[in-house]
Amino acid sequence: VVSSRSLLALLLGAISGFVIGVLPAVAPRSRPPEIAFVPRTSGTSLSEGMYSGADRAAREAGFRLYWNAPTREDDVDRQISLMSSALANNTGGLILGPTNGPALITKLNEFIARRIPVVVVQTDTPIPAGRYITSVTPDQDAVARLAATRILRALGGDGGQVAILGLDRTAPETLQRSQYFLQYLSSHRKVQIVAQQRGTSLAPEAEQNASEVLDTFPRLRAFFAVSATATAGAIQAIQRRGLAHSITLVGCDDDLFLIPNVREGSLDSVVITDNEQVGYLAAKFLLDAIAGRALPGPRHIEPRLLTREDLSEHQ
Amino acid sequence: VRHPQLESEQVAQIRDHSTTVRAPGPDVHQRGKYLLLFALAAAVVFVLTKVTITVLHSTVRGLPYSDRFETGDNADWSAYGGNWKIEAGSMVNESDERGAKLVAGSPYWTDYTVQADVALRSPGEAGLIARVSDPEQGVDAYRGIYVGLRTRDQSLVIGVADHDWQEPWPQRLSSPIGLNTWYHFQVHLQGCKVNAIVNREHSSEVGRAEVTLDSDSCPLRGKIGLRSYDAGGIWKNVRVTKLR
Repeated sequence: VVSSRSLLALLLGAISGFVIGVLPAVAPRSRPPEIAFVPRTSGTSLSEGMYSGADRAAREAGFRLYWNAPTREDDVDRQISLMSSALANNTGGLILGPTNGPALITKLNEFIARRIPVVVVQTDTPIPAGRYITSVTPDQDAVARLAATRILRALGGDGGQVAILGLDRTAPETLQRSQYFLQYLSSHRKVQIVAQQRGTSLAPEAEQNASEVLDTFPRLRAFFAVSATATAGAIQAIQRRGLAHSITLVGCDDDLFLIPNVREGSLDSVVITDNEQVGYLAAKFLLDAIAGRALPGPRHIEPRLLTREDLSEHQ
Repeated sequence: VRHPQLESEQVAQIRDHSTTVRAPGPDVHQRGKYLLLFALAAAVVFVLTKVTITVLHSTVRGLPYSDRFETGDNADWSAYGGNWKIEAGSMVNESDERGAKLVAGSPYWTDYTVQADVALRSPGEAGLIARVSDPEQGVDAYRGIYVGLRTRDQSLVIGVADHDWQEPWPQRLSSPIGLNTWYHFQVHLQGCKVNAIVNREHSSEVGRAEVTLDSDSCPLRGKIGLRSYDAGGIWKNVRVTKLR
């Protein structure tokens, strides 16, 4: 007969053996502190460039960068869910490319209430910049100026009909680019802005939008596409109609496919920003804020116009 | 002579004229017995726990693995995005979500060959992922190796995802990618060397690529999975075998 004390000794021994055996396999590994980066979407040249810069800055400071994004640019629910996960995982700070700024204000205020710094990229911050929030974005005025200069040069002294593609209220930078572009062309009497077409995050819909303009204005001379999706849609619409040599298309933002399009001539030029610099600066500001320094005010990065000639020079 | 700290009933005393020898009493024997039982149980359970963990973490546990999708049971698989269903002996992703994944297998598998028949339902990308860990819903939201067919540049792609995307270089295919056409994938993973061979159904080889990944960025262990990007896809005859 085994006494109750013997059973207790066996039981305690078994528990101790199990704990000692299993502990190395389940013990949490120490991880570096983390910052989160949630762009509008990922898997594009634009987002990969920003990732690369932010990751570099995070590593330099001994931080880990958590990176994830919705698979569609318009998936605001998924973006809110990723922001909530970052909060739940006690992130040190957030870099955000807002999918739909106004829809994210409540969530952004949660970060600010918890004194977690936020740096907004891709577009202006949807709430005023302050102690815990700032932005690093392309200089939208310069984007429009570069595009306007290029289009005016392509039109020559004759002028002609120009259309703007891709205006999207959920992406305020598209509205800013359009507004500045109109200002730059307002003094050119021979240039007529015939359409300001709505934008979308879906390429087939963007193609449809561009096609509507081409059908309505057969004498159109140039497009200014204010987003990467609008640019991709315009390329498709122009190619389907065989108008590549008669319409000048100037696009915006560095998407996966736009640079080959510039190289082959289906896109005249594209206004791009150094995305790696955007990502690096955003992460650097965030890490400085985590270290106790104040966030700087909104920072604008100078864009450049990429043409076929530039690509030839680089080859 | 009695030891002042011990009670008389706890110590058996043997006396002669000049010396006193103390012998352990019954409680000391009992304590020794309990200690022995404790140590014995701890040692046995420790060894059993270690053996169980070693078996569970084995690099070959569950291999060879295959799924012909003959029943509606897809309990082995975990979806990260996409709209997946089993249909006529194949797994179908009806969504054209970018980076939809379906993952199965052991996180401890290391060197293995994964094979499957893959068809694209629309222009985009579809293929297999291997050595997958830390998967989440998102375009490149996993750590692992992707091998797939891409219609945009008619190529066989091998790349590494670690919540970002590194693509050494795409391998142009010898013939255009057909939609709803079966391609047989064989992906061999040994250390940081990845070898991929793609054959068109009832036809010869259309693509072959061999890449040796950087040891810094090379995932060394993980599950397998099905992945598509911007296109729906169909997969059948998934098979994983230990690499000899």
